Amino acid sequence: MSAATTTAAGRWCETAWNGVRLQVPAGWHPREVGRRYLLLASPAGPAMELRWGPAAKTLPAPADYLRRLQPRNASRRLIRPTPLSAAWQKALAGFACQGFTWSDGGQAASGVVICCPACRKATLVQFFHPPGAGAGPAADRILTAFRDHGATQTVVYALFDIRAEVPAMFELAAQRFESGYFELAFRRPRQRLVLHRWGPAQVLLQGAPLATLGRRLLPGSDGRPEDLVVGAHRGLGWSQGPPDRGWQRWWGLLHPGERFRHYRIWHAVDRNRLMGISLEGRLAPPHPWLEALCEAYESI
Amino acid sequence: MKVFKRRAAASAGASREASLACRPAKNPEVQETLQDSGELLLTYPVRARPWFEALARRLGAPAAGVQTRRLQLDTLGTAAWQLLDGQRTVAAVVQAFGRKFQLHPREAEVSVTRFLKELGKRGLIGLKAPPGAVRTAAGRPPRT
Repeated sequence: MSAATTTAAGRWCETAWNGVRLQVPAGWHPREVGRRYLLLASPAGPAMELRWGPAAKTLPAPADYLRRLQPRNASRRLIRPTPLSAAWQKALAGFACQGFTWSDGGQAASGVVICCPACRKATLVQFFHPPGAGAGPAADRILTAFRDHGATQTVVYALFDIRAEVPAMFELAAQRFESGYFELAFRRPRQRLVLHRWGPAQVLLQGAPLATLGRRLLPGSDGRPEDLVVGAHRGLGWSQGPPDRGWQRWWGLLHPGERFRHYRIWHAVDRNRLMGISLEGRLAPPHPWLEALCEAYESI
Repeated sequence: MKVFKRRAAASAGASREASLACRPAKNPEVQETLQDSGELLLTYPVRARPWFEALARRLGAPAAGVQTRRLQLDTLGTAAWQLLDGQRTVAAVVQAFGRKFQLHPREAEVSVTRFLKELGKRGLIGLKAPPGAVRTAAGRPPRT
């Protein structure tokens, strides 16, 4: 039985990364995360792989993408184009698609190349299963919920236990998923945004005030913090601007670097997490989207 | 002459499932000291390596014998150590640890397995393989 079918009856959760959103069984966790790449694994092993990217000037046919994936030196064709099943056709209505299967040794996969005429994105999705077995009913549901662009001006990131809605003007620059610390870094011209998540909060705080820990965790957060409320959580914020008088003002204008810094940290007591945001750059406030970003950034 | 030799395939080792099914057991020679902070200090004996002892003897140094080392555990390490009762499997320890600190299952697994690996390197714990999964160090079944 494939990994997809074994978990089909369980809970499902949202997975969203850099423009792509889908629903997967709750037991499937990311094993590898790239800028435009996700490998999800079930307890039984690798279950699903996604790879996507923007198309060039003209959106090629999905079959062309498939042709490019064939190994050049292979004596036989490893990847076989296949027609989509009725369930997959229904799930992916509105996309240009080409199904495929491959089998090599003890591994096999069924997948589909999806080209979106609306956002001009090409996505390869494949489900791993034992040779001779199919992708299973879980794959149908995953593809039904598949979205490669949103209707709003924000991009959703939902991986592991964090969920954020980041303004689309920011581009994902880097990510770190370490035990106890997650970091998503974004950038746009003249501004850098970093989302932090620390845990477990009770161990990190150990009775110390949040301000002390915040200064240690967010380098650059100097001065007196202001109290703030993010959603239902209490937190602290630091804002720093360039000196507005004297020689330091002229020095700041002549030298590139982050002139405006905003740091926020709040304690999600119910989730035992510390959530934080760093915003640094040469763009002056106000940043009207910052409040909405903080409200939507949560540990789930 | 072959310039680029093919590397020998690395030993596959135990699978993830097999590793999670093992039961970690504490070394009985390890002494635990509970400190005021609630954290544990582990004291354990270490025997010098034979080649080092031989070298020391040749150079006329006194025999190193058995030395005592200490390992200070933090809050998370103490909690994980206290979960090792010789009965729980690695998977059960991961689950209990994750539940205690409200960690994501994958995050708890990485934290606990890394910690156990470190303890194993120092000889503070051993791993009992589940019945029917006896393997040699190279990952092959033992010769009969």
